[in-house]
Amino acid sequence: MNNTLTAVVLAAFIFVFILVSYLSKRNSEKASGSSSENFIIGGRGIGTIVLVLSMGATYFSTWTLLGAFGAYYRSGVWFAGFAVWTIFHAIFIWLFGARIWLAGKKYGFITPGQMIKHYYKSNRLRITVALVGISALVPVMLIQVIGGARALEALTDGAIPYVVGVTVTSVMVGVIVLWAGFKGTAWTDSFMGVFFASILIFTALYVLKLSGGAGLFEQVSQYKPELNVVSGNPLGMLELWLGLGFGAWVLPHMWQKFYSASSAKVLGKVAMATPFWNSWMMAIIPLVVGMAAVIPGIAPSVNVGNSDTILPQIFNFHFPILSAFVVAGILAAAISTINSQLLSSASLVAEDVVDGLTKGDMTSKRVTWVTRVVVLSLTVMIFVLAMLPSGAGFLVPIASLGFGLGLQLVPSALGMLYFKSVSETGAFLGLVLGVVVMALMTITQIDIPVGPSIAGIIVNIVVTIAVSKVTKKVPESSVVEFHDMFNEYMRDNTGEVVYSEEKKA
Amino acid sequence: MLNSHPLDEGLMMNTKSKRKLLWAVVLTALSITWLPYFGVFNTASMVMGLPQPLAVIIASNIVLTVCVILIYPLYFKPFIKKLEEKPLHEEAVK
Repeated sequence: MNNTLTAVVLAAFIFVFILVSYLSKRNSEKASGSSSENFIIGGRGIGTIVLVLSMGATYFSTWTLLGAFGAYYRSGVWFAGFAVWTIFHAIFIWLFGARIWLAGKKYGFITPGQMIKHYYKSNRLRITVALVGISALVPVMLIQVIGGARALEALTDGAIPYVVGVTVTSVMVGVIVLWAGFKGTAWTDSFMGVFFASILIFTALYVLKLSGGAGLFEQVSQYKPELNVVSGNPLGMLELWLGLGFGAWVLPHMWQKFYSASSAKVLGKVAMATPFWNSWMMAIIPLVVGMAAVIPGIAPSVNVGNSDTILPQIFNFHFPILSAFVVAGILAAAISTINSQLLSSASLVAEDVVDGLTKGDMTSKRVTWVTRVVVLSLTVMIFVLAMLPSGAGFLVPIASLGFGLGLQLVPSALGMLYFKSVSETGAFLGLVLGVVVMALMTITQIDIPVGPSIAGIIVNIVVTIAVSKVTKKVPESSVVEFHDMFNEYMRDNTGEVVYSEEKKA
Repeated sequence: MLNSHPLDEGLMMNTKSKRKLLWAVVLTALSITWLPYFGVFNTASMVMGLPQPLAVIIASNIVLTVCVILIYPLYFKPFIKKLEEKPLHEEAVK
């Protein structure tokens, strides 16, 4: 790899990044609304294109540029279920996102915990939801910083040392979030999403050309025929499907994206565009490249052990002069995920934990101030932990459970969005016991057919339903404010029911 | 919309029927994508250049993509119309 070119490309990348941040900052200064609403959810003014690109870039991390290719290389078409669960991201925008947006718009929510507290009238559930959300996000951020820096060091043969990778990532993320808030993260996400998607498209077209286009899978069958059939293990796919599928709406940083939409029309258009961005772009392209890598001449030095670096290997072998763009792409993919997670985690700490434990409500300006302090503190903490030789070691198992932890938030969220029979006590105990089961299974490494996420959610659902049957229901005011509103605007909106009622009257 | 004419009823019923049909297709397509994981449609034979299980999954993905696009006219449009007819009175809780 040409180190001078790498430095030039990275410098240009950072320059464009700062320029986009500046433009978003200038744009956000024109916004009306409260200080915290502007800083944490972009003043509910995000449009279609930025929201589609930002949601995609946030959800798809460095794993898409590295791990997804390796997963297809190792598992073949077994991993194609990935494409289907990403289609469901779009369906979830209607099923869950639109309801979250409606309630957020009506009552001014900026975090999931606020919505939980208003519906269940429960501070303990609000704080627990926030803590589970933070536990799901912070370790993942750390792993992204570490993984991105290690990849940069390896790809540049040490020209970008680990310490520089960690510093650049941490500083860029911290600066953008502190300086430009949600709008800054959304705009830079869009820029970075387009950047790394361009790399994906270019690679897929080139690999298809090399492997004979439509004959790609015929060739795969000559070298590794077992990759062309599904190797069973439906439970493994179910676990991935539930965790990664539901994570697209229930994890706090994705949940807050719904609040940020400027209108229902924007959300609808985002839903229509999502399959093309999330599934056909981010899931199918890695399928093509990852499976083509088994054909000799595509990525000659790849093997099962190093299959997570297929993309850089292809560039190093075929276009060494362009490898710098892959380096910048990895940086883009990491930053576009971490910045939203950082802002979201900080807002949960400020709005749900600090405010939840403080007597009386904090003002909007105070929430923004505390959020900024937490952003700075988390950035420093992640930097320090990433620099310690074994600092992140204890967090790795937690990070691997991030989406599973997010899954545990589903029953309490569904109670609020769909099932009025779910009580506060049921939701609280279900969530706590679901997380405890996940933790115990991870610590004891117990060998049962299902993994920690599935075991946790099964216990969570059973406890939520059972306890809700024998405990006090949510207040009638919550049913009116949430379920009746959802029914009026989103279910009984064709006029048919109203006409039937008129006829009966 | 609130005072819809009886003649509109057929049209409204039609929307609800279309919605039901949409979810039936979504669930069917989703179920089909799982078949290769249980050994059905899971041979190494090629279908239009794709291995059989992948062809099944890609075909379902195309159907699901169309279903997602149909969510806009069937769900989002009536939702947007309702919001225009009866705007939300925002009541910030803080």
